[in-house]
Amino acid sequence: MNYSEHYSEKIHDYLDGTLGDVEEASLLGAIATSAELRDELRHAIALKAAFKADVQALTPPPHLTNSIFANLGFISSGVPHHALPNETVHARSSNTALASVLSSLLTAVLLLSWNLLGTQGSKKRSDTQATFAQNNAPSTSPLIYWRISSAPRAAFRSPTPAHSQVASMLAVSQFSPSVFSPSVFSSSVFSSSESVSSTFPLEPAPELFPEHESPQEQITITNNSFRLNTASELVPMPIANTLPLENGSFNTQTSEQESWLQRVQIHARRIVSTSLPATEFPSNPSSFLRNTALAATFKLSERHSVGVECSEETFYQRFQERLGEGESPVTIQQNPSLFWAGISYRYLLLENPTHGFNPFLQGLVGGTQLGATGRVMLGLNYSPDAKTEFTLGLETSALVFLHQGVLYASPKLGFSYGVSLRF
Amino acid sequence: MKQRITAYTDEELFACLSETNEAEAAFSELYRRLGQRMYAYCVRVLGDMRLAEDVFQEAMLKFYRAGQEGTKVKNVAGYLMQSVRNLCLNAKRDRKITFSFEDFDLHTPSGAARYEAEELAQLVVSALELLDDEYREAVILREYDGFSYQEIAELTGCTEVNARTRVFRGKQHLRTILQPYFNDIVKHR
Repeated sequence: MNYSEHYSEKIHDYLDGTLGDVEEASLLGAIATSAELRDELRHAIALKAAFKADVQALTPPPHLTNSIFANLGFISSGVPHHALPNETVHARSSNTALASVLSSLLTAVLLLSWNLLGTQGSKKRSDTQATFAQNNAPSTSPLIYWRISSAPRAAFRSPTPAHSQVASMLAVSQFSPSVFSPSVFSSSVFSSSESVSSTFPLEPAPELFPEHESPQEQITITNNSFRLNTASELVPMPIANTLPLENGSFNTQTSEQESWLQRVQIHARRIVSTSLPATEFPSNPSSFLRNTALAATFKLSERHSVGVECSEETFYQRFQERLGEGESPVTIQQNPSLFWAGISYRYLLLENPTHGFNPFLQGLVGGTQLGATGRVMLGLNYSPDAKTEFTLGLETSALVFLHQGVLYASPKLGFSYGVSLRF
Repeated sequence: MKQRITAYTDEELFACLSETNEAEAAFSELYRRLGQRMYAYCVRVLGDMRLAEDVFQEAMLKFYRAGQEGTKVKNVAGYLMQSVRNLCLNAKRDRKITFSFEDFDLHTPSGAARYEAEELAQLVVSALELLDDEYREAVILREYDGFSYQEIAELTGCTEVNARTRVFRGKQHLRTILQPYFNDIVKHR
């Protein structure tokens, strides 16, 4: 199975909700960097939706149900209402049902928190921002609308409740501005760090509006105009999980300072490293955290962040031990798996990301059970939006430990990749 | 009884079919839970609505009679699916249904910018018919009936790995067939 096919299969597992966290992170990373996989994802979502629509359309017709019940000697004209098949086909197994419920809850929390942030704490500095006001919007549609700061950016149909979460996660990197007319939005609006500060009309993309809405309602939207500022301030936010167009209108408002919560970022990354010199020396059993670093950082300014990070890694130790007075020292080797935790500092090399990319330097000092540890990382961030970052970096680390009065170091070299989410 | 029946497991309901006073309510509930999936399978595997209705009816009647006779079943959904599948195979053997690519109008509507799921569903249905039987059945069991790969393997007599591969290959073939539409969707967005 080649690279592409491997991820193709994973996409289907992802949409089924059966992918593990690590595989999911790996897949999302691959999707973020591969247009082919993004296409494949769109197609898979469309297929899934089509399957569901088809299943729902395939209900045994009443005459067939009546015939079956009559053949069994039941009251054919009185087929119990509850005997009609429902639409729970995709929630058949308890696992799927549970996943569905959990995903829906998670989605609801995400939507709620985003909405709260959008209305309370997510205002940008001194920018004019458009918000969408909605009144009496029906709450039955599975559509989820996203906006980038001030503009509805993409809409998609969620094949099942469980996939609302999938879709909401994917939207951050998947949906291009092509949902709008190219004459209105150019891709540079979303990917460039240049200041884009023009006023232009919002044109409704057909995909954004349900069929039953009248042209009049669309014209209402068309006549609105709003203002975008710098791309770095574009924030994906779900407007609602409903149809927001009826009685809706755009309003502008002046925003305020970024909230502290928005400065917090959660990171998870996989570390692939080797000891120097390389060793095959066995290690003790380790936890799930092995080679997976978890971190939380706080943005001090546009380029400076501090945080805490922890993980578990093996460190190959080679040191001399004198067993007794006058005896020759013996060389001890071991490759223990150690928990480490420390304080990190990250410095972004560019003030404004280039096409979403921004190199950075990161340092960490911390400790393990056996001694101090430090690491330095030179990496590259890719931010498809203001809430998500994918990271790839080279890093070197070392365990420094003291044994019988002698200081030793166990260096390592490797790379890491991961994903970061901002509130 | 009618208020509690929905809390019964499939297996408990199936056992109730042999009890005269509860049989109708139990069957109604089983029909509600399983009927649509089985019907969808029949329609999509056979590709013929009338034939599918015949097979579905026969399967449901046999299912009820098996319950009446006190047949012991551990997995009712799997048991019914197996029965439906066997009947579908017989029906296909007796009445060979063939399709060709040319049978389907897969042209893109000119100027179409919107592809609703229902519209795409129609295309998917057509494309499904173009798949080899083993791929089509695997996709249907997975996507229409919600069976796990392990259950699909048990039903079709292959390994779990093979079941997974069939589902994946089936979807890939569907994607290949529908590629022009997907491209059109992207183009219009």
